[in-house]
Amino acid sequence: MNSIAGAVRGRWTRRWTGRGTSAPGIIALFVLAILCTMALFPALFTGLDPLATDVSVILKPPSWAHIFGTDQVGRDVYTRVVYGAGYSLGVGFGATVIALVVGVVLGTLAGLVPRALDGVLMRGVEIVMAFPEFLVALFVIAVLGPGPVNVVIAVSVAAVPAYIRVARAETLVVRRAGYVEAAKGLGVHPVWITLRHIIPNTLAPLSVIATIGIGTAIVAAAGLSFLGLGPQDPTPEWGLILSGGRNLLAVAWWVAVFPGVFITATVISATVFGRRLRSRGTGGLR
Amino acid sequence: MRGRLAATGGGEPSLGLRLAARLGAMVVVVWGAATLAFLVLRLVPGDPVDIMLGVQGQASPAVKDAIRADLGLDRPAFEQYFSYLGRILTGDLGRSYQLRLPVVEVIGQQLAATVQLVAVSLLFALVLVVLGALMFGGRRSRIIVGSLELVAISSPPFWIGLVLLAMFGFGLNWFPVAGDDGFRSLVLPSLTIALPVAGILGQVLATGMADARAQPFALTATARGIGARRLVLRHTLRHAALSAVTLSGYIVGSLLGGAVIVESVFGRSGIGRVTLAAITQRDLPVVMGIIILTAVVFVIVNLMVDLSYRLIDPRLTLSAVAIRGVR
Repeated sequence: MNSIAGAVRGRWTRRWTGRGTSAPGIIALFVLAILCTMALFPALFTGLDPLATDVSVILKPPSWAHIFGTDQVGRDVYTRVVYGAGYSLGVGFGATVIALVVGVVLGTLAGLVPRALDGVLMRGVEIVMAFPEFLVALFVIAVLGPGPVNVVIAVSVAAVPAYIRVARAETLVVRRAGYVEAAKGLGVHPVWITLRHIIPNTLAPLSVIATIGIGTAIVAAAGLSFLGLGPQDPTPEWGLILSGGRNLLAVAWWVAVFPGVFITATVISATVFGRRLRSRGTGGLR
Repeated sequence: MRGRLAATGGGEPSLGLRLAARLGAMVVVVWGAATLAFLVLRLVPGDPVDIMLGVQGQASPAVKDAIRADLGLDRPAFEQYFSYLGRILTGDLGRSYQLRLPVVEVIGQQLAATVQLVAVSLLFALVLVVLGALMFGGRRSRIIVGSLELVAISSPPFWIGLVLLAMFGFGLNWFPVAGDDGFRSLVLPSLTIALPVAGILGQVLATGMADARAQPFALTATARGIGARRLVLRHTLRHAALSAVTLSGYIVGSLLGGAVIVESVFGRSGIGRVTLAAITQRDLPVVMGIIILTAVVFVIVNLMVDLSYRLIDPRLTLSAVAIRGVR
């Protein structure tokens, strides 16, 4: 259901990121570039160790030495947030790629196989979509058990039905296109037509949804870690840092506030950037 | 008469038949969810009896066999499936592994707390949205409200909860920081769930209301000398509500998913806490019960939404609602 949130977020940003260059679009790209650099090279942004404890600076409020303050064992919150970018962005990206690949394979098949089989598959998709995405992810964790890898699987399973739906709808349109008919007439093998002509042409709209979906996946994964179902302390993961911050709220608001700012900034940037992709890259195709 | 016949297309099934199909579709969703839940239980790695006994529970193979026979786990899968479906029809969802209570009882005890939380959240969201629509119709304020809405939708719900808790719970001391006694302890948890819902509703309503303002009826009403506020309340908001109602699936999702997180953040009891405990302790009968409950809620909400289309927009007839429902 969060794909709807993505679509609505997108509708609002369209006005701001329509054609040509726009300030929000550039800011979003800039923020994403910084976050990706942070995820790949955290040492560029901080000289400290995210796991290093220091009893002399327990629960210090933000200052020049520790701009986001320190936690209950004296770890620098800023450093932990910087190192958390790699984990959180990686999970969001990984889960989205898995969901996209599975969604394209199943969705394309559903659009090409006989109607009876398509009907069975789509009824199944509809039943899963009756459940809120976050609850689907929780149910998957119930089956697989908690853990960082299972969080990725759970988030991608929850996202897959939406991708199947869009990939199927696109396939139904593309398979009637002139170039597909032409290839058929030339006697090209159906498998090759699917790989060479159908799938590439369904990918453009899917990539936009996936860009916005990365944000949704990051929030879902952080939510599962927040509930203690993902990685365990001392892993620097945004949801887990927030979860630790819950117990410190009475004495140290900064532990719980800053990681959330990063999650929100990531989600907004991914949404705005996704809209940019749509208005530029796919404008001519659709 | 001729036009009417042409419009209905002659050989269309009767209203009763369409409503029956609608009910059939509802049953299919719940049955599908129950089947899915059953498959999930079969897919779980490990012996259900071992999971049931827990890590510390030691039992001889003879005792385990006795439990297995007692639960019917030694019979063929399809036989288990049909007796499981039969038990669901009689309202028996099995027994919790951990609490050793019937699942219906475990869920029933906590249902009221969550229903209360969700109802107040929905009320807060609607109040926020209507206030926003009335007070911020102008262009510039729309940009500000739009940005706030984007932040509300994009923020993780548990973080919204923590920020509200830090500000109004620990900072200003206006509301209790945990527990569930009385309305005061309900305010922050409900706001946490309400803010993203209000954000998304606000976005959709703003688009719908802009559409409505361009409609002839808005011009007529303005020409009649109706005030701006009255125009919003009586005409454009109602028009836009139709598109917002379509989002109800997403909203119910936010409310239920939000309940799991919010009950954990604010230390409230309820279905969300039951769900989380069942998942961490792998109490699968309870998880299955929650899955079936969610499916039933989804089906009922969808039916209510389809019926409310007609209340909001009298142009739709009951038969049109039935068609929309069957899809």
